[in-house]
Amino acid sequence: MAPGPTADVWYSLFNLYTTAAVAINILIIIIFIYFLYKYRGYRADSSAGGIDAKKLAIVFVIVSAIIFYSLEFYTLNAMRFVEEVPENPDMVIEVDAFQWAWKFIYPNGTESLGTLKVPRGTLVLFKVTSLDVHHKFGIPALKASIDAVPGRINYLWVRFDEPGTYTVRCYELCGLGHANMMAQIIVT
Amino acid sequence: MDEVSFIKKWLTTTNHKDIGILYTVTALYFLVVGGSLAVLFRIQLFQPLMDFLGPHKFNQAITLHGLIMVLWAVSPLAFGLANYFVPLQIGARDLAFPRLNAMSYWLYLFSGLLLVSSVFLPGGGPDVGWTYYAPLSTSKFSPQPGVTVAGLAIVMLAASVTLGTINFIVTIAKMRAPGMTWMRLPMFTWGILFTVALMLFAFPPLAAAVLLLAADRVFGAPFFSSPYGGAILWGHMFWFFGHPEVYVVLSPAYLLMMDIVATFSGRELVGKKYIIYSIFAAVVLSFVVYIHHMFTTGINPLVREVYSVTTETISIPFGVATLSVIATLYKGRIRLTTPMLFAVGSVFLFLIGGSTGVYLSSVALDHWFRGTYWVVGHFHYQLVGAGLMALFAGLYYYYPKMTGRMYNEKWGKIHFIISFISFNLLYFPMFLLYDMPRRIYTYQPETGWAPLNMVASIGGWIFAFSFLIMVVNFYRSLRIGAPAGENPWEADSLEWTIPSPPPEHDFDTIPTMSSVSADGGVETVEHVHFHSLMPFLISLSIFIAFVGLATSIVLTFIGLLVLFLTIANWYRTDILERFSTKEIEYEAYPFEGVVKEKLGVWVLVASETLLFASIIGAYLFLRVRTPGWPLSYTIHDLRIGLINTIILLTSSLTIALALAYVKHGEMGKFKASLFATFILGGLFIVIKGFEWSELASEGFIIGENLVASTYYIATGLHAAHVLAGLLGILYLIFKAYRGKFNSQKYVGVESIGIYWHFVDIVWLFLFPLFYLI
Repeated sequence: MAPGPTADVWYSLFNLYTTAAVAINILIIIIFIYFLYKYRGYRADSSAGGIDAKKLAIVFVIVSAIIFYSLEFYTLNAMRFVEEVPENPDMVIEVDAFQWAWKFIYPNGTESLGTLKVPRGTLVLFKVTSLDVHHKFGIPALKASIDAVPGRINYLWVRFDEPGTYTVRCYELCGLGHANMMAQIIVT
Repeated sequence: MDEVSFIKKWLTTTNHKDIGILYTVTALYFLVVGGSLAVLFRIQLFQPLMDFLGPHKFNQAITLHGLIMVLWAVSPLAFGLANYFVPLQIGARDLAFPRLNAMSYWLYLFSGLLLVSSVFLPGGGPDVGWTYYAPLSTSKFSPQPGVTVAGLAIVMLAASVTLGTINFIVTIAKMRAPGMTWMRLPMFTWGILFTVALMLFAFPPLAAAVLLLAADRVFGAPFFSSPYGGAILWGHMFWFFGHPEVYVVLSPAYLLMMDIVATFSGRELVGKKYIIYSIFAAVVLSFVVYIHHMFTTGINPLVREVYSVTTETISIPFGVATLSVIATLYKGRIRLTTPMLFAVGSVFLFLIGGSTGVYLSSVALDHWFRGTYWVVGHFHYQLVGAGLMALFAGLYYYYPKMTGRMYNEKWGKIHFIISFISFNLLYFPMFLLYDMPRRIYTYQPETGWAPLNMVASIGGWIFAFSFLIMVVNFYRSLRIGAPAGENPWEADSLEWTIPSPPPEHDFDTIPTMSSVSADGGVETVEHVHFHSLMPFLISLSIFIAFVGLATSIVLTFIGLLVLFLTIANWYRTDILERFSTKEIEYEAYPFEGVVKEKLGVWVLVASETLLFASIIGAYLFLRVRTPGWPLSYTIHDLRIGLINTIILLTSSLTIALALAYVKHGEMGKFKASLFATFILGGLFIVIKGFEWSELASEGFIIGENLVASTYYIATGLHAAHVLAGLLGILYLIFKAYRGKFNSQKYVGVESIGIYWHFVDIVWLFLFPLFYLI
C-alpha cells in the first residue's frame, strides 16, 4: 500500500543504510564500552603491545571500503531509477515556485494556485522552476523532491498509486513565508 | 617587563597565552550568544503554531545562531587553546608573529561585535539563513542593511583568519624545538595545522563570494541576481568554503580528543602515523566533495555520481582514526576523569553523526533529506557532539595548566552526564523528523511533529543550562581549587613539563627531544614580550568604518582616519625596530632555507591566489552562461591595457633589481630602484583611474550589467592589491633612508618583492581575460 514507486525505492534504500549503520554502531559501541570497563585502572604493561597498527588499518580500510562501496552500488541504482526522466509521461505539469506559493500549470494551459488534481496511477512529470528565489519542491509522502532554481528547469517524476490528499512543502529557506509555503495534490 | 595596569595589559598584550585566554573567553561569550538564540527559537518550535518569535525574528535568530556558532564560537574556541598550547607543545616561546596574532584576535572580536550589532539596524539583522543563499540574500529580496553588515563582518573575520593561518603555519613549520620532528608533534598541533591549511584554501573563496554579494547589494552588480546561473554560482562558491569548514571546526577538536584519550589510557596513541595520513587524506578529499551540498540543484548526473562516491570515501579515513582510538583503549590504564568522559562521549556522538552523514552522501537518499531536519541533526552531532564536546574535554583537560588549580571533579562529571543525555534528547529526535523542513518558524498540529519537537526543545534547554555548570565550576575553582602542579594528568607532551600556570616566558631553556618527551634543554636568547595597542586600534577603526557604512558616512571617515594613522604608526615602530622578536631556529624541515617573514608572505600569496582564482572563476562561470557577452576588445582599449601590462612588468624588473643591489650593498642604486618601482606602480594606478573614468563617462558603470560588474570587481580588487603593494614599497623606501637595510639584512625587500611579483602575475591573468578575449 505504498503511495508510489519513488517512496518504495527510497524506503528500501533507507532501510538498508539503517540496518548497516545500526549494526556497525552497536558493534563499535559495545567494544568501546567493554574496553572502557575492562581496562579501567588496569595496571599492566602499558606499552603499545599486541597491536599491529598497520595491519589493523589495512584490514579496516578494506572492510569499510567493501561496506561503503556496496552501499554506494545500491545508491547509484536507486539514483538512476529515480532520476531517469520518463520519455512518455501521462501528464506534464509545470510548477512555478514563488514567494510564497506554488503555481501548477496543466498541459492544456490552465493554471491552478496551490492545488493540483491528478488521477490515481498517472505518471506525472513536474517541470519545476522558480520565479524569484531558491525553493525546494517536496512531497513528503512520496519522498520526492527537487530544487526550484530561478533561471532553470528541473525535472521530477512521480506516480501516485494511492488516492488521497498529498501535501507539498518548500524545503529551502525562502523568506518570511517559508513555513507556510504549501500546496495540495489531490489524487482521485 | 614593567607592571602595566589590568586594562592596558589586556588591550596591548601580544603574549600567546594572554591571547589564548582572550580567544577562549570571547569564544565562550559568543557560544552563550548563539546558544541563547537557540534557546529562544526552541521555545518558538516547542509547540505547533506557537506565537513567540514570529517569522522575522525567528529567521534572524537561526541565521545569527548559525553564523555565530560556526564562525565565531566553536572554531575560535579551538584557536583559544591553540594560541595557548601550540607554542608550548612545539617548544616555542610564542607564535612567529606575536603582534599579528594580537591583530587576528582583535579583528575576530570586532567582527563578531559587528555581526551582533547588525540586529539593531533598521530592518534587523540578516534573516536569510547562515548559508546566505542567493538570490534571497540579494538586495531585491532582502533590502535591509543588516544583511550587508553581517557580510562585512564575515569579510573582517576572513581577514582575521588569514592572518592567523599565516601565523600558525609559519610557527609550526619554523619554530619547533630541537628534535621536535613532524611525527613527534602532539595530535592537537597536527589538528591545528590541518585546520589552518584548510582555512588557507577555504576562506578566500568565502571572502570572494561575500565581496561579490556586497557588490551586488551595494552597487547593484548583478552577480548572484543574474538569471544565468547566479543562484548556482553562489552554491558553488559557498560550499567550496562550506564543506571544508566542517573539517576546520572538527579537526582540532577531534585530534585533541585523541591526545586526551592517549593520556588517560596511559599509553601512546596507537597508529599515530596512520591517523595523520588518514586525516590528511580527509582534508584533501574535503575540497572535492563539496558538490554533495548541491545534489538536488539539477547539476549533471555523472558529476553527482562521482561526488557521491568520493563523499562516501571520506568516511574511511575517519573510520581509521576512530579505530585507533579504540585500539588505544585496549589494554590501557584507563582513568575516567571528566576530560576523558567528554572525549569518549564525543567519539560516540561522532559515530552517530558520521553514520547519519553516510546517508547524506547517498544521492538517492539525499534527494529527500536535503533541507530537512535530518541534516540539522547530522551536522549538530558532528559540530556540537564531536566538535564542541571534545573542546569541552580540552577545557577541562587544560584548565589546571592554564590556572594552576584543579576544577571540581564531581561537578565536572555531573556536567558530562547532564550534557550528554540532554544533547541526545535535543538532537536525536531531529533524525526522526526527517519530513520536517529546516528553518520553518511554525508547523501545523496535524503534521504530528509536536512530540518530537517538545523533546528536542526540553533537551535543548537542559543542554544550554548544563553549560553554566562548567562556567560556575571554573569560576569557583579559580580561588578554591586544589593546586594542580606541573603535570596532574601524567601526560607526556611539552606543555606538562613547565609550571602551571606557565611563567611569562614559558620555557627556562628550550627543551630538546630525542623521543616524544623532552630530555634536555638548551640555553637561548631571552625572549621579551612586547605590548602594542595598534592591533586593537586597527581593528576598532575598521569596525567603526563598517558601522559607518550602514549608518553615517562620517563614522566611516573617522574610522578610516584612525586606521591610516595607526598603520603609519605600525610602520614607524617597525622602521625604528621597536618591535621585533628574535628566535633561534632549530627544527624547520623542510623549510630550513626560508626565513619566517618570507614563508609568511608565501602563505599569504597562496591565500591571495585562491581569492583571485575565485573571482576569475566566478567571472568565467557567468561569462560562459550569459548569452551575448561581447568580446572584451570591443569594449576596452587594448592599447591602455597593453601599456599598463608593460608598466607592471617593468616594475617587477625594478623590484628585482632593488633586491640585487641591496644584496651587493649598492645602496644608491637600491634606493633608485625602489623609487622606480613606486613610480611605475603609481603610474599604473593613475592610468587605471583615467581608464575607469573614461569608461564610466561612456555609461559603462559597475551596476550596468554583468560585463561591467565583473570587469570593475576584478580590476578593482587587483588595483587595491597594487595599492597595498605600493604601501609596502613606501615602507621599504622609508626604511632604506633610515639605513635599515644592508647587504646582510634585506628580508623586508625580499618579502615585499614576492608580494609585488605576485600582484604583477595576477595582472598577467586579468589582462587577456578582460582585454583580449
